[in-house]
Amino acid sequence: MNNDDISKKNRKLAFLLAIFAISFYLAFVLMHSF
Amino acid sequence: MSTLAHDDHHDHKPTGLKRWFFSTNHKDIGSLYLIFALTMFFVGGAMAMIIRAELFQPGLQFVDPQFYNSMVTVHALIMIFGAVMPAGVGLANWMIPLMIGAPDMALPRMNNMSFWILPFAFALLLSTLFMEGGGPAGGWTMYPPLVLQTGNAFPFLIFAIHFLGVSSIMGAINIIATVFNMRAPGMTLMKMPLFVWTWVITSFLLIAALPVLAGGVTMLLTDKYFGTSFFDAAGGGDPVLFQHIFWFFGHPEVYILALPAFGIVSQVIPAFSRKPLFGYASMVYATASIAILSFFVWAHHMFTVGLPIKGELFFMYATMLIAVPTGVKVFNWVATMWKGAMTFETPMLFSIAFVILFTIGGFSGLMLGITPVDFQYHDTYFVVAHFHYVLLTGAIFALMSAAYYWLPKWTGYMYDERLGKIHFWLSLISSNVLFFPQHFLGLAGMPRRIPDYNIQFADFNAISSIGGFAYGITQLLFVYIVIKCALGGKKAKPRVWEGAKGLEWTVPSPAPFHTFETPPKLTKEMLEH
Repeated sequence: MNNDDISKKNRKLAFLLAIFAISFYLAFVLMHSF
Repeated sequence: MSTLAHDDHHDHKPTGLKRWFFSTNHKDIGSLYLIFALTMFFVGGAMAMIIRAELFQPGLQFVDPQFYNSMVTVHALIMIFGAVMPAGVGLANWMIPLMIGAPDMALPRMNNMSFWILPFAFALLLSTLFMEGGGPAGGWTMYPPLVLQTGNAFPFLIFAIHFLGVSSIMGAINIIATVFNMRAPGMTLMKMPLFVWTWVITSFLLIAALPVLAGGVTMLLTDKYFGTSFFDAAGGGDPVLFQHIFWFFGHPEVYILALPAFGIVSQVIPAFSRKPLFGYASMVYATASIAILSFFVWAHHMFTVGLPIKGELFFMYATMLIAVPTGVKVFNWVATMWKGAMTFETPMLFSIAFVILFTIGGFSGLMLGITPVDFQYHDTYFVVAHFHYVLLTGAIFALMSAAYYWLPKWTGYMYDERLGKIHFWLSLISSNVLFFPQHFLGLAGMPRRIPDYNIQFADFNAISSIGGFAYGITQLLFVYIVIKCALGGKKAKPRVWEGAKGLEWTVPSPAPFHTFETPPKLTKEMLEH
């Protein structure tokens, strides 16, 4: 695997984890809003 | 052990301020984190000195009660988010790539951003102390409705917490991506040093716990400024809901502070016992078990709010369960030392003290976890004694152990062992003089978070304050030792400690600016940790 592939893999994993964190945050606020 | 020759090539680095402001190098960013954490340790420590000065005698001595409450609140926030967490992330930045044979962290620019958010967040938080109405004074737990009485400081507090959360989540994402994608060939997950394992698990805790805190404080903000009633009973809300949300974050947060400390001790004890870590796999599983269980015990912080009896029983038993994997860890550390060829350099002394004193903090934690008993201890100095044993003689002793253990690798020079040992013994004695009497104060009924107290508590408070001042002054010695070591001394070898195993000891001391640009070939000896 070359460096570009690893960078792509890193960014993909980071994106997924960030989406998880943000949706967890939003879900927590919205869950208590209704 | 041979030094890897390729590490010496291309050791160019940027110079001046640019090197630090725009750094994408894991070692530089690690150093920034560590220096920032040490600075915040002294800022928070100065606040602790004010608290102990005020409590030296009964009656109001030096500060007014509002300012005292601010000191209690901001001391906690600074020490947790500004000192212990950044110190752990600093160590992770410095050591994880070196330990797994990676050239750097997976996302170096995000790494830079994670760090540089911190000074701005703490500038926001500390600026509140100079505002009209003073800093936040409702305790670090920020319970409504009390915290909603905060003046102009309130939005600054909330935004500072959001920033700290964002910084920590980005740091956690970076660590997970680094460990999962950047390991050298042959470095399988179950061959990684335990410090790396504890940080991977801590990172998942951060990603799962911090959004909950962020959600809770956002709701506080909208309750105060946008007319919502999440926590306002008059509008159909419930103030106890905040406590549930806060502690759903707060209990995993305890392990966010403690797990990296477990990782450090699991590196140091085998090195100075000259034996591999006893029960490596069980250590990994115990760490993961503690992390998972930490999400099911939060209500033991709020037994006295009026939970249903079945709920109280559930949280009591779940809390007791955490003692099992923690016991596995303590057993393994002791078994590692058993019949080892032990020597007692400063890192080892701090690690052994950690095992003993963290266990004392764990035992008082068990006492607090027993529901009926907690009704007497809740919000007393017993709780203050408990969590300072876990966090000061626990987490901070482990961080000190790590600092002495890896300092020669960072600076290229050996620290002054005699001064290190003096620092250890003075810290050990003073911290116990500081916190042990607080158990007695709590059992006798002295409440926490008060600037004045009944005359019957005077003697133990005076003893505790003397311990506090001694501990504070002793830490200046640590700064002197670090500066002395950075400026020169006996040259450190690549493998600084005779019994230390692992990849980080194959690179020269100080570690070159760039390491493992080509993945290292792993030998059996490198994986014997």
